[in-house]
Amino acid sequence: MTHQARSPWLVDVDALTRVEGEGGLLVRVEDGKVADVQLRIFEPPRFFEGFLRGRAHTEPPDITARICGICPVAYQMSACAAIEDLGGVTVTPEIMALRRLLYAGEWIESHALHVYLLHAPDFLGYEHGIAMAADHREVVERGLRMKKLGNELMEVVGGRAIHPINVRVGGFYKAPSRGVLRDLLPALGAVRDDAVETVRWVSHFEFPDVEVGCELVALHQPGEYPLMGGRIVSTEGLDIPVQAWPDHFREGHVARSTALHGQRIDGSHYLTGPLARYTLASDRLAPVARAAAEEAGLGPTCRNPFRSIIVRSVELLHAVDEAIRMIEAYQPPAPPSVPVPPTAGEGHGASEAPRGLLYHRYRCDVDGIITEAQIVPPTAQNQPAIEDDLHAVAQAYLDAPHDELVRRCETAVRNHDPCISCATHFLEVEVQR
Amino acid sequence: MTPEGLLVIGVGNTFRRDDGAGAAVADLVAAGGGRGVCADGEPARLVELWSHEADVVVVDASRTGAQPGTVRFLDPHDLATVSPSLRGGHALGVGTAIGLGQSLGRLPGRLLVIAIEGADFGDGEGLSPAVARAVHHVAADLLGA
Repeated sequence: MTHQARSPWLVDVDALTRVEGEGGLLVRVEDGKVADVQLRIFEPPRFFEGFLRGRAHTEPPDITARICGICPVAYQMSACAAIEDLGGVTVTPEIMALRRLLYAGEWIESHALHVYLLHAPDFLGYEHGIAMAADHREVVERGLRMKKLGNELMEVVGGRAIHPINVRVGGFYKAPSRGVLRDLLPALGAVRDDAVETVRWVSHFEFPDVEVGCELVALHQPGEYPLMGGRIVSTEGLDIPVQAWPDHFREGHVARSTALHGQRIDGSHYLTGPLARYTLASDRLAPVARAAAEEAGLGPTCRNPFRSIIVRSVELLHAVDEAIRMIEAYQPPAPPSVPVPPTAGEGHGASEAPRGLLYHRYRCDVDGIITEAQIVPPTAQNQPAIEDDLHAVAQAYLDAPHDELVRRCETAVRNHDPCISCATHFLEVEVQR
Repeated sequence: MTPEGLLVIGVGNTFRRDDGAGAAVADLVAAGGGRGVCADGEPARLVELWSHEADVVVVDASRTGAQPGTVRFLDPHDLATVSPSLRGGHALGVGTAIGLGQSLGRLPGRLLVIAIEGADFGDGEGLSPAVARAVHHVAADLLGA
């Protein structure tokens, strides 16, 4: 809901739409300048880190998957990585390949949902995806085809499209057969064509000329586009093991948000997600995705948050192509999991959720009982950088008609595909003049 | 047996007590030899489930303040609205799916929505007595229809 405010806020969106979860945004103007912006997250806190205490070291993949219905695999993969780090266990390449395939399914369904139903309406002037579907039926059908295929991939590998049940610490309960995965190849081939078309389609949208100036942070695994494992790197030269996350990043409370705000240890802001991954690793995209990015006019880096819809589409194409490649090379892991015995100590894990870097840390006792848990989702880390974007966009469009200003402010937030449910673990707009 | 071709889709979460009413009806229909499937209510999946069907009944739980167990037959066109709360990623439901199906020209040939009023939407499994009775009545009617 958007309205001219009664109060000092020029823009007041008390329930921001087309984002995951409940939040709003405020913009306050003084003497013709934006004085304050606030991304307010009022989704109730969810206390996952609290109720993980006292649970067995084998339980985080199933418990933390419940944090999000869009990106449960990200939670499962980061949780497994952290518990396996604690136990000093390395899974087999076959298990890792199957994890990447499951994760590809999640990237496909999440990115297709955001590009087509949540973000594209901003560029085409529709209030929501259903209104857009009435005028662009074939386009929306294309998005739904990709989302469906992503969900099918998650069902086949994970046992269920939402909150998969086949993931365990150390691997999987059961490995799918070659045949059942190969049955997906014809549909994946068609969806790869859809993904190529998606990049072309979004590349023709109109993009304001703005850039994010903050540090960009992503995982780095030699030879691979960021997804799982490797080190944490940044555009400012950061290059650390995942275990060093607490030495370089911190979280803090702000009154306007039930989600913690992430910052670098020196208080500076940073951004994770598609822009960071692309800027730090575009040379490691699948060739078909790299070619599509080039055709769409993306250089080797991208700092324009509005163009994130192109980057997300390129990543969608990359994920489809990766899925095809992994199925063609698939060797069922046998056994499907490796033992991860209870170990006293602390473990760290990170992976690239569709929205950005997701960090988990667990401390366990000698019986493998969790005594401390920390979960830092990408939206919590990105909040300060999103507010910086919001400030810049609000200032740039301050003289625009009010509805245009509000639309641009909302888009500035949706550019980052925030997942408020994860972070509270958001959106309405208010502007005060 | 349900009439040949009739698909009963039960929508809801069986871990939130009476929200599982729709799924319970679908399970009873399937156990009785009919075509019953459960769905979580995500619009794209609902549209996919029904778009090639001629005759579909969707059963969902409602919370309107009516007497628990009250059964209402709803006109899908009245539900095909997108309220502000349905524009986000949360609270998407049958109404959004009908709106999406209309926009895409992917509604079933005939669609009926049945709402069973729930009493308890708290954590846990199992239906309230009045809701359980309504579930059996609705399933029996659908099997005998």
